[in-house]
Amino acid sequence: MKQPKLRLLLIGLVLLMAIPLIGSLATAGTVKIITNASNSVETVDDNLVKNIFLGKKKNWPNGDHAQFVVLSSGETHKSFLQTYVKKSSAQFKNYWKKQVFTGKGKNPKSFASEGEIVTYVTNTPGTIGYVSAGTDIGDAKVLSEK
Amino acid sequence: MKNRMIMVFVCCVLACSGLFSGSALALEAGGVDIHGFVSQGFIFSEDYEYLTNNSKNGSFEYNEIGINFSKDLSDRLRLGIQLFSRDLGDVGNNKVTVDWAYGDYRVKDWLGIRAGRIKLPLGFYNETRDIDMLRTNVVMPQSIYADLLRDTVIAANGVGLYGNIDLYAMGSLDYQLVAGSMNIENENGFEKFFNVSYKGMFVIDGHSDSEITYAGGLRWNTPLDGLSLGVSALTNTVDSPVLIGGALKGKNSTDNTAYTVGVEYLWEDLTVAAEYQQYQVEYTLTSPMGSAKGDQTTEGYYLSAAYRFTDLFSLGAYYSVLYIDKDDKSGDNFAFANDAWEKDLALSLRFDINDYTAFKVEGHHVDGTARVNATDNPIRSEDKFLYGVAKVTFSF
Repeated sequence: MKQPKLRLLLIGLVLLMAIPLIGSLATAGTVKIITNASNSVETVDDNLVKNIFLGKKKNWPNGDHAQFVVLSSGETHKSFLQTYVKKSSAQFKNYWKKQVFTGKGKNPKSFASEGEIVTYVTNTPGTIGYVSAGTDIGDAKVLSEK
Repeated sequence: MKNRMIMVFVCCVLACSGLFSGSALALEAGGVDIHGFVSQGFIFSEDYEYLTNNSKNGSFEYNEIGINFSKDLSDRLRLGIQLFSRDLGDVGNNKVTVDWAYGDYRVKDWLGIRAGRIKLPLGFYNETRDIDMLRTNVVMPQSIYADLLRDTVIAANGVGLYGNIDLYAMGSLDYQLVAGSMNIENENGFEKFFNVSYKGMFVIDGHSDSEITYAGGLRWNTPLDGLSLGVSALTNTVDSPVLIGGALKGKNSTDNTAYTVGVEYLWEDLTVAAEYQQYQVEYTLTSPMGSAKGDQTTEGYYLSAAYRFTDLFSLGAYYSVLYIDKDDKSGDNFAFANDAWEKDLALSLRFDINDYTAFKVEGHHVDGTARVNATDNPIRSEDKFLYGVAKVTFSF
């Protein structure tokens, strides 16, 4: 009586694990990593960007405090996370919820538009953010573009 | 009074969940960030009372409530506290506890210091096991994350070190070390777990004391994006007053050691994880009649997968296996042979209604009664059974 139920559950598990095999990779758009013009750091590698946005690195290589800011949603946000942080939007959100509810960190400062990111980064020393490739970054400085 | 406080908090969370939508929300007062969650479940089982003592009739005595307050006092210093309450049938009963509360000073990226009540790194998910919205499944694999022991192993009062070490081309290494004292409360599940563990040879008869608990965890974030490997260990000694044969008073001293290894892989919206644990107990029972020694190694492992199809819908599944005594997997020395193992196949559906509300339903097919509590189920002759849970979680 119970065996068919077990078989159904097993089939469900196998199907679930097969889903990624039939999925396809989304193509990420180009994003620029920007920082305040006063930052003496000129370039960054992907690993440093990833660790700063995951809260694992709180300082620039020169010892200055690094504050990161994010977009709250959108394609640029998704492309940035996919390219540099190697996480989906949901995984990134989940990661920071985990930090918040275990006392290890606070949610990233987020903005609704790329213009707000540029303004904040331009006016705040030590800040790092990201915008799409075509965005006018004013007095901010580009650290990486992919 | 306590219930009134809980109700007020529940209402606040529900109000926040309903009123706010769109961008992430955090309440802030005087620079203090405030976050919280309310998770209410319903559990129903056939044949046995499972997890709760009243699941056969269906039970709403299955919830978790938490609220935390934190503040960055400087770029390096952080302070926070989380209050927590849960109900699991006759365990917990929504008594409010301090889940974690610590000061955190980050000296360098590779060295931070914590002091206070600190969550213990036992497996990948011990620290987040009470935070329902972080996962697709409702019930954690009981082979490694036994719900009756949740309050005992969740945290310790002491000090800790942590950090992230850059391995450059080899990825990076996260580490945590904690030394501290556990809070062991009989009414929070420890008594029920303890009495069953010793198969009725003796039962707990008072308050247990733990010597210093040492726990450590390493997580290697490999160069392969999304792949991480983990290892963790915990060891302590617990002394418990016991009653032997219903009349003779004695003391049971246990040396406990748990080792866990695991692998987690995140790829796009897929999460796959597997963990293996051995939990070794060496006990010395002392009474006016003399002393006796014994030991047992419990073995557990699971494989889980979850996939987020859309922002609204996720599907998850796991297969979890537990052997209470890895040297007696067929149950030759158990009152019921099927008490020796539990093989749990779970399938979960999750609906994220908005950023603050998640609803889940989950079905389990269980072979074996290793986690069927003998206190609530004196007869365990049926080796297979089904149970289901539904849960809604509000968080902000």
